[in-house]
Amino acid sequence: MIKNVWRLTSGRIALVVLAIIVFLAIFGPLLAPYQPNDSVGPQLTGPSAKHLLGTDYIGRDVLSRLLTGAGLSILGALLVAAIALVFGAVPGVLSVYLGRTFEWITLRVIDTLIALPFLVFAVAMTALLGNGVFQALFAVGFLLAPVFYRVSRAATLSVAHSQYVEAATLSGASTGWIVRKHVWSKVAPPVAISLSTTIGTGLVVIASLTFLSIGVSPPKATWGGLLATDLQYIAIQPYAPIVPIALILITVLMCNVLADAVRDTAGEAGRQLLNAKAAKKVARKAARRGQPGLVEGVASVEASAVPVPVPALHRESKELHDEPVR
Amino acid sequence: MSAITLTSRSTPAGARPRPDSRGSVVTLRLRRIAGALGRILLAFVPVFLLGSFFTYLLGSLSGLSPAYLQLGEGATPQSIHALNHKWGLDRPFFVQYVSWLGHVLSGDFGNSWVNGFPVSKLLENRAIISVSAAGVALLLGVVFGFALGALAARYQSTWVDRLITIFTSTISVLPPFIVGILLIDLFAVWLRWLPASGYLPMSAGFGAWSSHIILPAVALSFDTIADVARQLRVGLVTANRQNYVTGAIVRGLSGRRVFFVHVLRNGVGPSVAILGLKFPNLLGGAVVTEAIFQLSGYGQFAAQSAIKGDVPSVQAVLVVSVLLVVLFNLIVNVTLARLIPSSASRGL
Amino acid sequence: MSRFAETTVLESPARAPSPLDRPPIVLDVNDLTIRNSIGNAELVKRVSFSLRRGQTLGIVGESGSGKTLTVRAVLGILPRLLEQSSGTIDILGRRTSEFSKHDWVDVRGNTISAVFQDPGSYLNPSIWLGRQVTEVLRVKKGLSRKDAKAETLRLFEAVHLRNPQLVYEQFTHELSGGMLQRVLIAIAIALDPEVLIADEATTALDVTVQAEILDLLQELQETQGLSLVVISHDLAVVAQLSDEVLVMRSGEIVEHGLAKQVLRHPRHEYTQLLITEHERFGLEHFIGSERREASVG
Repeated sequence: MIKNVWRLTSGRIALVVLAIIVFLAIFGPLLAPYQPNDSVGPQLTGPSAKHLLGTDYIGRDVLSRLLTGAGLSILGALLVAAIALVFGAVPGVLSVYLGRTFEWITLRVIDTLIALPFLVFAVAMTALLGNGVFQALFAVGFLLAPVFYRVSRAATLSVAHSQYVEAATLSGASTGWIVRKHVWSKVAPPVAISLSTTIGTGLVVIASLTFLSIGVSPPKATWGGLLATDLQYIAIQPYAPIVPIALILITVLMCNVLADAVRDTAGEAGRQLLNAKAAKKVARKAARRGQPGLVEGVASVEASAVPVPVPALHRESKELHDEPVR
Repeated sequence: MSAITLTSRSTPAGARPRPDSRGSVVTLRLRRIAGALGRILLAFVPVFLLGSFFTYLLGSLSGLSPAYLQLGEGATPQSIHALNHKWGLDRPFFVQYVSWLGHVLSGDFGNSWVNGFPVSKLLENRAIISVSAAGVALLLGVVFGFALGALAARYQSTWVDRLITIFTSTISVLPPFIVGILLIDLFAVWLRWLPASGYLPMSAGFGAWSSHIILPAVALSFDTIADVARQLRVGLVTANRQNYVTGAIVRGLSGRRVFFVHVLRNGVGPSVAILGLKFPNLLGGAVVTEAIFQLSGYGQFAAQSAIKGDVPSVQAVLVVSVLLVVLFNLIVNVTLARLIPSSASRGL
Repeated sequence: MSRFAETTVLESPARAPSPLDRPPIVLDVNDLTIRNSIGNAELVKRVSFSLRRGQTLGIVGESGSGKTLTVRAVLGILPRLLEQSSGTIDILGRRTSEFSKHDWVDVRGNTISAVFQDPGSYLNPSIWLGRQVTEVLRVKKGLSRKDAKAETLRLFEAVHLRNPQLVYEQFTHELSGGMLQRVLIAIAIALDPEVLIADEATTALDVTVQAEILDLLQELQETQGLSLVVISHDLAVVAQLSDEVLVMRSGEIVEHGLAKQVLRHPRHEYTQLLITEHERFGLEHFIGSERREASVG
């Protein structure tokens, strides 16, 4: 699946940027020039050679705080998505197999979770359960589970009683083979899409919580916490919030782009899209070597995206266009 | 052709209505109302019950008690016990839940552990602020969402459509708290057109009130605008392709009438439905926007109470928000049923 | 109702019609050609026919023969990528190529109307059926709400709906196909038009219901003085109602003449093919029925 996404330009960009961000999250504290909680310079200065992003109201280096804070925010987001996946996908898949009552109960619970105003409950859960990091991650993950419940349930339903699974079982294929070949290709893409978007959502929610000083107490550096203090001193340093905001937005954007890339390359339509791109590549190479006949077929390939060996494309696409309109 | 063979087949023009026609009309109407009521009960009551149960459970799980807040560090086990008993916290869980729920349904949210005031009083003052912000945000969402969606559908596949799509995709990823900070940066700090924080009631004048409420409302509305626009565009484009539009045109109805009576009515379905789904987000987003813009509404109250460990107050806000979501979705469903009755019978 | 009187004067069985009082032409199509604006394929090629008042024209052909496109051109509702590249259409003597949008709105419903296959889909699923009829009556005829409702109920009875009061308040998903077609017909005749086009109006209905609808159309033609254009791929349907028959294939007219002639002595081999295929379903039964003999004045 990742291989397919890589073939799309948008997918490539998303994967690269996200990889960089994760790298920063893991190695941020090591890369930071100063200790994030130490007062190392004059207060509220702008960007300078010594402090690339200036200092905050206590004199701490902003860049260092940003790099250190990346860890909590990004890795936290990943953890949140993982928790949501487990809490959602497990009941989702089981709901198809464990009978009517279980199904009805879980459906009602999920309906309720969707109806709950998200942040209010996240705040309440975190604070009431001890106001710690783990409570925060758990609360957010739990509240984001419905998406995975729905997606995994839908995917399981579409595969569970499908004929090709039954046929494969009858013809003696092993369960492992069935799962890998049929179930995985149906279930993995939607789950991957939801995973990508949930990571983005999770990041924003964690930033919101830390902004409110919930789940993490100062002086620990977090992106949200940084924004909170930036807001207080915004009259003096109006440009301060821009960098953390940009970081958050870029991450969320890349998560969405990744999700779109997975969606575009999944299933039948995805295979056609990739084949069309491959054909285009071949035709372009051929054109450069001077074979004009194949190039004409290229334009119609894009329109019809038919997965057929290249030389036949020209003929077939012409027929498609000549079909009489009723 | 002679008239004789014809009239024997057709009913004379002035025939009296059949005896059972009145009765069957009444039956039809009753059946429809019963169906609607049944669906409402089945969909919303469980959600409210589960939501309130979860809220109360949260409070219990927290292990917090008024003792922390009122007695401080030097509390003896006896005094803690006595206090818990006074507040009814030593009863079995279900008894507490049912009793609490009963009080809630009659408007009594208990007393705050912090100062003993009835929570409902504390919420009252803050209600108008939160409701104003969310209300204006909803209004913006509907007005701009509809306008953009209708434009995109009207000029489908032209640059107008593409521009609107890019715009809505962009704003849908911007979370309220980031938008809020950016808006303050732009309008309060740089341009100095609008105040950065605070709330002024309507009594201080419409201009003053709106200048304070507009930035938080805009920050909250982006998500709604984007989704309403997208759903309306899809809905209108789909409706336009349907046969009943051809049917209406063939009857000689004007383009305007076809659009407003036939296309619009069937096309708004998805966008109205999405409002119901977006409402919880609007309420939730208030938590951060109130913090950013320093509005003392429900969101602020919830956050502060949670940090202080004032369980009844937190529970009150949670259950009120669940109630609001349920009520709002009820209104949405009723509206949808009136607009598109066939969706009601299909149970959408 | 007034036209009813006219028709009896012109076509009463006591007086054999002479060429001098042949009914006027209500719809005249000449050399109509419809083209796909991208790709330039001609989907309808030089089609010509005339429809006289009170008569029924049947158009028969298989899918893709161009019969539906022809009538859509007559109604002015060709799909977006198709255009009328040559030929003329005159409705009551007015040339449609000169029509403004306003003219089309005027002509549709008042002069020319249509019913289609899958009648339910041509009605708004969210509005009471009765209200869709009153809409037409109030907007185009200026009737008051009360009068429109009364007229609607009368129309519902004219199309033999058993419980007009009930149907008035029902939605499309609550009625069967046959009843929905009656509603559609009721709307189509509400403004007393000259021409009613029935495009595959009975396809997708049960056979018994088909027969009822065809009877209804014939009855309405006689009471309202309608001129009918009946389109079908089913030769039997066309044969039952038509005075004149047009056979179309691949966008062209391959045969054109009086119904009896075409069906008894087909000249083109395609028509012969259609007839022999329908013989299995007792086509002669329709061709040789007394009803047919009597109504062809």
